[in-house]
Amino acid sequence: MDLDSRIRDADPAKELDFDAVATAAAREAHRRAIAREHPRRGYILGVSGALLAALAAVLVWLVIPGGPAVTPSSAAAAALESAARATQNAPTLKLGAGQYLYSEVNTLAGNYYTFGNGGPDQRAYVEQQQTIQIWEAADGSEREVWTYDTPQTFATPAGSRAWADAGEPQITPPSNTPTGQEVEYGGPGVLTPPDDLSRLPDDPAALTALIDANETGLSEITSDPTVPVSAAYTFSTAARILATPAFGSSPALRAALYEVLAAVPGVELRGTAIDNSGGRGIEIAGPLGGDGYSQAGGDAGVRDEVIIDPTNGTVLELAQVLADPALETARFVKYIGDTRGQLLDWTDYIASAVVDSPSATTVSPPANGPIKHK
Amino acid sequence: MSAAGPDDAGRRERFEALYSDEYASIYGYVYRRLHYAASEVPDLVAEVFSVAWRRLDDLPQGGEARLWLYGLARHLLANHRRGSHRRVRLMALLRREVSTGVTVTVAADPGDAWLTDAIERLPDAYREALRLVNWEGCSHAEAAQILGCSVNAVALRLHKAKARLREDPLVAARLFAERAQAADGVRAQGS
Repeated sequence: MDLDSRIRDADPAKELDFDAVATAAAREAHRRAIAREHPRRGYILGVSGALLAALAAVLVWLVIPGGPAVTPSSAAAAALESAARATQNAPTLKLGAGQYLYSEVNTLAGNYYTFGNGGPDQRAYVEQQQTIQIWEAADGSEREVWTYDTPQTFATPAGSRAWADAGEPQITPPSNTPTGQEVEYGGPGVLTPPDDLSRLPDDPAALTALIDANETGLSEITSDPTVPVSAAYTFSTAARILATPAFGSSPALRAALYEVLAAVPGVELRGTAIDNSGGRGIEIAGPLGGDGYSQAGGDAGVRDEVIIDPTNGTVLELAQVLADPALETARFVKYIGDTRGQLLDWTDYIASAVVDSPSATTVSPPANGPIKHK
Repeated sequence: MSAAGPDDAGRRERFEALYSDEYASIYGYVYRRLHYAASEVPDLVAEVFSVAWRRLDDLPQGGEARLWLYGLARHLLANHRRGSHRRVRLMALLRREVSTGVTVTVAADPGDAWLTDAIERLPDAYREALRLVNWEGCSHAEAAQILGCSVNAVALRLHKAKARLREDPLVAARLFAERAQAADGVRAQGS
């Protein structure tokens, strides 16, 4: 067989069952969703109410020791308001020519595999800790280094059995072999320029409205129009914008994002906490519903939790936690887990800095960093 | 923001036709480039069509629309790994798959891995030209339109892609072994 024929035969999609992935029902659902306007919620009153609640909570804490009980939500709002004030001292991230924004995270990532014909007992969910280092330039060039810190592990015995029954096929990255993997992207023009947060409003109400309408314009905050916005979505999205190092992230914007979080109904102060990389802070839990994207099909019993360093208002960790296993499907419990409080995934924000080369991890101009997150 | 209200039946009708006609093509395009992380494919395809809906007025008519969608998908693919919070969101999508039973990820089939891996190792420009012509079935002119280069440049990239593949030690060894095996078979039949 000649090379051309071999290349055509090597098409990864040659045996893809398009009918299975693009069923009429799926198409119809997507069509309906795309054509639908996103619902909007009024948040101006909500923000005002939360601010009042936060002030009340602060007063209770600071002025009336032993006074009336503080609700978890108002205590969380007070803590978030405090973080909003603390973040005022952080620098605005700006890049000069030839400079890169370096960021580093530790994360627990998962992957989902099916074996054979994907029957009910032919699935597995695996987890692995990774370190991700990213260098971004204003012109869109970028370099990423992913390091696999631990072997992949099966989340549940059911997944491990399915893999063994399938003859222990190779899963990517190779199981039980922690290896460094470098991913290099091209230079200017290959990628779109990175998001610039300076165009976002620093008024909490306007920011909330923008998030809920899926109109942040941020490439990484992509909307899933099949899912209506929810409190979990607002919390998750604001927390992600806050946590991720990005150009144009100003103290005023970060303070506004904390106020958006404070206004979300159902936020809860969980107390002091240590993240998975050893950072110490206070833990705030969002409403049930995962990140709010997936409430239509799962994650009903999952919520976002964020650990904040109260001394400088930086986010140390974003995690998703199984808060109520009873709300999840049988398949979720079988392959992912059933333990209340189980950490499903987490990302620890280790450092961000402006550097002079796409391999440097140390800061050059003192005025711009680094922001040491712990 | 959605650019049209519920009254805009004509616009919606055009999008529905586009969606119906091109879903499988775009799914295949994304799958071929993301098969190592196939659970991410549906999300990215949805993103392609979400952007297409918002920019429907920019879409060319007729067969050119597919090329435009390929170009858009290529652009989104280049960005898909950027940043870390998208990955967090992907975890939630993965869990949704587990919960609802959508089946898209299959453990590695070693069948053609020696060749697909070699194709992955090609420089981006060569690899994309090779995929568009051999897997998407694009003509050289169509590939040139998607890649934003000349038809001659596509032909040159294809030529260089195949030359690189032939020079790839793993591909060369595999092809050599297959030729030797075939020759042995001929000899065995003759004896």
